[in-house]
Amino acid sequence: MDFGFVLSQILTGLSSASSLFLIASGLTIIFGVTRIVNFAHGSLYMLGAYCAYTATESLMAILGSSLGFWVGILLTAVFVGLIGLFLEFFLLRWLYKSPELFQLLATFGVVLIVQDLVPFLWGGEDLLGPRAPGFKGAIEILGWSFPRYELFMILIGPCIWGGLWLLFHKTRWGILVRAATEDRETVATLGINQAWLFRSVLFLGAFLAGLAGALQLPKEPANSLMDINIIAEAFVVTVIGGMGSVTGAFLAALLIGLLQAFGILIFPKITLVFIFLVMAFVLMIRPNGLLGKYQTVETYSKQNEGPHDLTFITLPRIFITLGVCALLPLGLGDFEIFVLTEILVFALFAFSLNFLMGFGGMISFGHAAYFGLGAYAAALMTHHFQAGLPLALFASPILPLIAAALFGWFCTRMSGVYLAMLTLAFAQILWSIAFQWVALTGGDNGLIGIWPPKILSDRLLFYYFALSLIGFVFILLYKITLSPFGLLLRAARDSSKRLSADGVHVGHLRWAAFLIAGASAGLAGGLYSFAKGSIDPHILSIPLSVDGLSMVLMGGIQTLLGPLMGSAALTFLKTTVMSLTENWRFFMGSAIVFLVLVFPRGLVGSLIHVFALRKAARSEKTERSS
Amino acid sequence: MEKNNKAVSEESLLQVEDLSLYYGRARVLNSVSLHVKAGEIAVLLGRNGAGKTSCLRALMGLIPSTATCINYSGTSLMTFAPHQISQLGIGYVPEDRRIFTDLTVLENLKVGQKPSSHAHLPTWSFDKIFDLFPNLAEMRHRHADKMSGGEQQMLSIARTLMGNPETLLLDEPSEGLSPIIVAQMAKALQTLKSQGMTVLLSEQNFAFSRKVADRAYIIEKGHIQYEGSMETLAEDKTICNRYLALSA
Repeated sequence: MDFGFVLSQILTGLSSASSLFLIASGLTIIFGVTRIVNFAHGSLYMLGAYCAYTATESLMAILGSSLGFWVGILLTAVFVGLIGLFLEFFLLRWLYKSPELFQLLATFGVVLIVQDLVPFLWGGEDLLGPRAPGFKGAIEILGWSFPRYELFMILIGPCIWGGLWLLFHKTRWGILVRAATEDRETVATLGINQAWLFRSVLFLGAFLAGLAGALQLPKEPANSLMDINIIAEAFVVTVIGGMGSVTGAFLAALLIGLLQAFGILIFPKITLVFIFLVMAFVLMIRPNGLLGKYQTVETYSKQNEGPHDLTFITLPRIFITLGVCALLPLGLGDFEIFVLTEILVFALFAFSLNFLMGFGGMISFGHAAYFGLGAYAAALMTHHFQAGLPLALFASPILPLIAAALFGWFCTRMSGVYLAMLTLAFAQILWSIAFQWVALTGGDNGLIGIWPPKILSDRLLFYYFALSLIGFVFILLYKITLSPFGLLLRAARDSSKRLSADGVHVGHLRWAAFLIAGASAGLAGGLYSFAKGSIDPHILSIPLSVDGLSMVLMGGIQTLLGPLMGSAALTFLKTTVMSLTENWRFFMGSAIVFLVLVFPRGLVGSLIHVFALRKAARSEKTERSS
Repeated sequence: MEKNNKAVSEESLLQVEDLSLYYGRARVLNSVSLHVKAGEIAVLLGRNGAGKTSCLRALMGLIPSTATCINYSGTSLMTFAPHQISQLGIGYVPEDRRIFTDLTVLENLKVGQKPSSHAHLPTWSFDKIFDLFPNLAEMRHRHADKMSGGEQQMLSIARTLMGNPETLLLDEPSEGLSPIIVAQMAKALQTLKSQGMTVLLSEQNFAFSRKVADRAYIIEKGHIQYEGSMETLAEDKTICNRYLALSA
């Protein structure tokens, strides 16, 4: 390798590090003060690119190309900052005291809404922006030509970092933000109105995301995949840097940017795997990231402590429910039975996720990884080895089990948002492997022709087959939650420090729960591939993970029957209402936001809550009268 | 004329009636009523878990509580957020000090900075703070996580003073400190009092309280059990022994 080539790779790495830093710094600043992981940060970035397209196009015509371009970029950043304020005012401020799962879900709802708004406003085509005036063309460095604009980008990162450092150390506002990052309550008792602090921080964070998006426009056309593509990388950078640390984000962005530039030479297609290895390494040495201090340990159980319906669910009641499920498909057509099968399969998926979250207290934002791996395991067995259904279904929990053992080893050392972000990153890695390893997985087209054997080819028979298997796993999960292991798991969720002081290895406990949840989800995935006959990378993607979360949320967290109801509700909505419209994302996103804000307890959870309130009111009455 | 003046100064600045507080189903405060007159130091004495900290936190609006009245110089605090209560002139120094460890001493003080709105009290500056707590002056650029417990306690009080409060809610300032620092703390409190500061103190340390306080309340299991002047209390051995397990 000659030196000029190495240098040009370094410069490319530094340039992408700048973009990454702009995104990640906004994310980390917002998290530091509000403790919200803003999933919609990628959407703000994408909006930045699209708005910059519109702004530069119109302003360059009025102000001339040079002035118009830069004014356009700046106005875009300010405008996206204002969108951040809008978001704070109508959504985030209602969520500051909510469990972090709800914050993540609600901001993901915003991601979906923006994904439909962008084509509505700008059309579905990729939009190629103008070249940056003054930075067109390339210069030659040691015989390798290098775009001038990339050099400009290399400078932008350190400039913004320096500016932020001055802002946070030399202004009263900055000192207040740093104080609030550490202890919001004390800042309030010192007479500072947090609402304004939060708003200004949201503005700054969104401004940086908008700026990053706008500055990206001369490098790549504005397109509708920008948001999801950037968010996983931004999560990785903030986690490596340490949540809430701007300087940490800067170092992490440099690390990732450079590794990507060289990783692309070694693993051309799956640089994400490379990043994953780096992240794993950093987190093994420093669990809170390079410069992070604030491991968030809160889980929703603390704030959302409600009555568990474990006494409400009894074995006879489970059998009644299964009996009702057995009667449902009678007299229905093939398509309806297929939908019912899908409901069952997703119910198992949601059960396993609920087991992990509701009982284990671990929020997974990448549970689709295990569902998808299970589905791929079954499909690959069938497709490449012509294995029959029994062997394929046997493999479907095994592969996810192995993955859960590996990923879970890292994830269960984390808690709260770190865990959520790590699980998401792992799922994204698997997704990119499935997407890019065409020879094995068929890439985007996926694998087709995965049908059950003749005996089960009848839809109704397959439904009963799935029902009995899922019913069995469900009873098993139910038994596990009541077993000593299940009790310890719930104790670990509610008070992990206390439990480890009692001599229990909480990490192992949570790891075991991670394995159980992963394997159950894998079995659901295996059943899914046989029910549907084909699979594609979508079943590993973030939207499917969020579907799982929505089902759990709809049904109600910490309930056992909830996931079944949630699966039924969501699958029903998807096959009926949402198939009627092109803009299902918009409706889905709005529905998630609505659910989080209005029905945080979910369907079953709300019912139980109403019963509990009534019971309490009654007992109070009798207390008074006696 | 003189009598009239006295009546005004004797009027209570902070008045609390029937303050009750629950953690879940456990009642932590049970109809607590107390008042603090302008310029006096009142102390809330009680053992661990008696409800002292909860009482101050409730007054500061940090935990939801019920009461028939919480008035501060004629304004009801019941619907106020912590920052509004602070802006009225009530400074709060938490029990666990809550220093911003990422910030330097000077930056900690800057967070507390607020313009004065009480003409009868001196306006605090960095220099005056360092006069009151000389230890802090030597470490103004030190990060607060490299300070001893006593220094952190002083910084916590100093930070609140920078907001120019009219009244201090001071939660166990002597807890866990060495006798020398406790003595310094008592001196600082006497200085504050001589300048006209009003203080509601929560304490377990009777000897310390006796040095600084004018009046005392004894709280036990969320109930106010005793109210009277500090002198009377110091002489009443029965009460002291029953509620305060101490070496008075």
